[in-house]
Amino acid sequence: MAGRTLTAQFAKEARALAPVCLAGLATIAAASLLGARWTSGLELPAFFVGVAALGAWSIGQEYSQRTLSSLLAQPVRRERIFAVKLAALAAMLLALAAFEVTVLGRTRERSEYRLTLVAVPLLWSAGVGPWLTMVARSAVGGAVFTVTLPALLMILIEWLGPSKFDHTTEADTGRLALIWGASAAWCAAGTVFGWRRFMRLEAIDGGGVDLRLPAWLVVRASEQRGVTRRHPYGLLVKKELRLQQITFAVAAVSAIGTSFVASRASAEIADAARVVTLIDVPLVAMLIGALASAEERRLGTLESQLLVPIAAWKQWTVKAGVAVALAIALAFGLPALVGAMSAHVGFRAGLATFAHPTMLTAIVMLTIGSLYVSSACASGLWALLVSAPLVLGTFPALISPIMSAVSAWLYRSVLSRGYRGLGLTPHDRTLLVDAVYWGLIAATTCLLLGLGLRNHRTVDRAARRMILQGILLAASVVTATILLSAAVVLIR
Amino acid sequence: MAAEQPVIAIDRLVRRYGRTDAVNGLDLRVRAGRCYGFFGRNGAGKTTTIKCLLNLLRPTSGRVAVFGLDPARHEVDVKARLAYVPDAVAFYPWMTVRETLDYFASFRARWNEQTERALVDRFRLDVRQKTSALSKGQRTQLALVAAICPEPELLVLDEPTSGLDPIVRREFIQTVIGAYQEGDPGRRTVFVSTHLISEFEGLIDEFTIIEGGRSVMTLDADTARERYQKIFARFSRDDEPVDLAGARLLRRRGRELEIVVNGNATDVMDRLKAQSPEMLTSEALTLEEIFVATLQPGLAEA
Repeated sequence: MAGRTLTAQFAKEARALAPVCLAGLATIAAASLLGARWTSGLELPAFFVGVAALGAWSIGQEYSQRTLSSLLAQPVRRERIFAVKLAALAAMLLALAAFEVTVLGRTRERSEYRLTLVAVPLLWSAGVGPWLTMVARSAVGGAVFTVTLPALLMILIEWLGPSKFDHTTEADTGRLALIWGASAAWCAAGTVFGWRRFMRLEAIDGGGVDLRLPAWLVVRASEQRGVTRRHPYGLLVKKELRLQQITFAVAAVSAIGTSFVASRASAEIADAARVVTLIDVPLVAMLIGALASAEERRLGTLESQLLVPIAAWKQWTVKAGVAVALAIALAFGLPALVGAMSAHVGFRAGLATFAHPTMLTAIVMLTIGSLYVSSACASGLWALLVSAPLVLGTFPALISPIMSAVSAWLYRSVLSRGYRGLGLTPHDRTLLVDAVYWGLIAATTCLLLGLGLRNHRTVDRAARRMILQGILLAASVVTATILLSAAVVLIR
Repeated sequence: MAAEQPVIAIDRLVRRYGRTDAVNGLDLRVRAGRCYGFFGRNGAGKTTTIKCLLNLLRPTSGRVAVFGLDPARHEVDVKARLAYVPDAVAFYPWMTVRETLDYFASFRARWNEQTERALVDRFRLDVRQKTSALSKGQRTQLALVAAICPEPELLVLDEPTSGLDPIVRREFIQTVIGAYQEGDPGRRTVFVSTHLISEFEGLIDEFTIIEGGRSVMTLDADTARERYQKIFARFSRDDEPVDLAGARLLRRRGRELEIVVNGNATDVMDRLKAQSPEMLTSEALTLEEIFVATLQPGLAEA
């Protein structure tokens, strides 16, 4: 009887974690195996996000699906419930780690770091992820802090190592030892706190984001009896900003950490801070989009919000506008500001590479892509997990091979047969190619936002509609890529 | 709106989820100023119908009109004239009760502050409390305040009393809904989907019973009570043979007999009278009893 219960309990946990694990595998595969140059190196951040999401989802699923009460009411000791959760989590983490080791084996030469890079995130996830999720009472909050806080710890260690011991082999060894020691301590503390918290866990599910400003920072809520009317669009903007409070927290922690370290930086620290920024920029951009629509659905406020007498498309426009503006501010402006304020030339120069129109376009497209995914997801964490492989995989799986194939075909069948171009000046050719490029970007943006609105305004998330939209989007990306390739080759 | 224009008009509404027909050819008309009951068992298609009305779901086929307008094409015109209380109420957790009311008031052309004060006091809501700290019943109360204060022409309630305690429930139904309609009689319409039919007994003017996504009965409440009668008879002998054609047997115990008739009470009473019962009485069925008599398969035709 007990064995059967245990098996059922483990199966339930494994079934709940399996889709997250698969999303993590898909993200790593998209980032590494498809071989695009711009995504190489992102398989590690993808692995970090995957393991953090697994750690957070272990408990976070109960909050997101509002099953916490029924879980805790089971006639099973809490110790066993938590132990089974951790066992299922460990199994999934090991599966993800095995895949990552295979990928690292293909792409990394510095084998001495492999164990650290793979094992340490597992410690964070298993030890700290469930605890942070219970503290935040939100899966997405648990996941992002499981990534962000250890990343800052790593930077701190990078700062401590060379500044105390200089950049020597001994310092490297010491740094690794420090990373292991700090991670083990962090993991042990997280496990103890997580265990204690679960034993005393109260069934307050669906409580939403539990991050609060200190009381002295909060403008006191009006205690007056009468109603205070404000401008509806101002309220919509304010509401959108409040939905993003986890993003603000992540961006603030990251910016404070990197600027603090960078102000005392050596070359190695600048590198580490730049790596964190490289993780942080796409994470923040995707997080903003992922939270924007799906969190309204998770909170259960979508229906009442849609029924306020403002057209749904106007509400959606405000939502998309706030998301894009916030992404530009936090994922583009903030790193640029931190870089500009840094005393370290290398760090400043490193971050200057981010301040480029292409990066701005990429950030906006990442946000809009994840906003579209968010419109079809039931929670922000799911939207983040689905966005990552989709966005990272679209370029290497679709755009890059199609561009190569179309260009090669055009060279072979048009240019090699005496094609003389359109007779434009170089300046006009550049303008025309730019116009095609921006036109296609605008069309893709409009399509994503239009489909997103269609998903957002209905409470039904029908599989058939999502499949049709997937086909339409894939066809659009293929068409746009063919047009762009043709424009680049023929307008020359 | 033309005088004859129904507030809600549903024609052959079909809504499918995959291969499941949640609503399957529903027709419905709700006239202005009525309190309309929409009754059905779990999974009968009530919430899906309401969501189609509110443009939260698109019909697979059929036509839905609110105030004579297509809620998808005239979205804002429709939304500005109605308010909705869902079965699962949720608010932004960071807002207090006061901020939530301010938030919803800011989107509305009208907001009756007197009503707001009266309801907040009656429900004993603390305006400084965060909505995340409210109980399920208190959240429903807040949703009701937010729905009634804009004085909409149409109030759509989906299981509005499921989280309320009996005192508040009675007060809400009799006082709040009653007062809301009396505020502008003939113009304010209530469309209520509920399982707690008995709670709305005195308020319902007309109702539809829905089963398997189809309407199985639409009746004026008074007509229904006239047609559906419960007849109680007591005979002098245990084994008195009785002709129960056209009646539904509810209970037979010894000399006593309880039956339900639908529209043929006089005929059945005459036949029973012919057998000289010791006692013969009849009374109107409540709406809940009509609902049960219509849908409960265990009640075989006698």
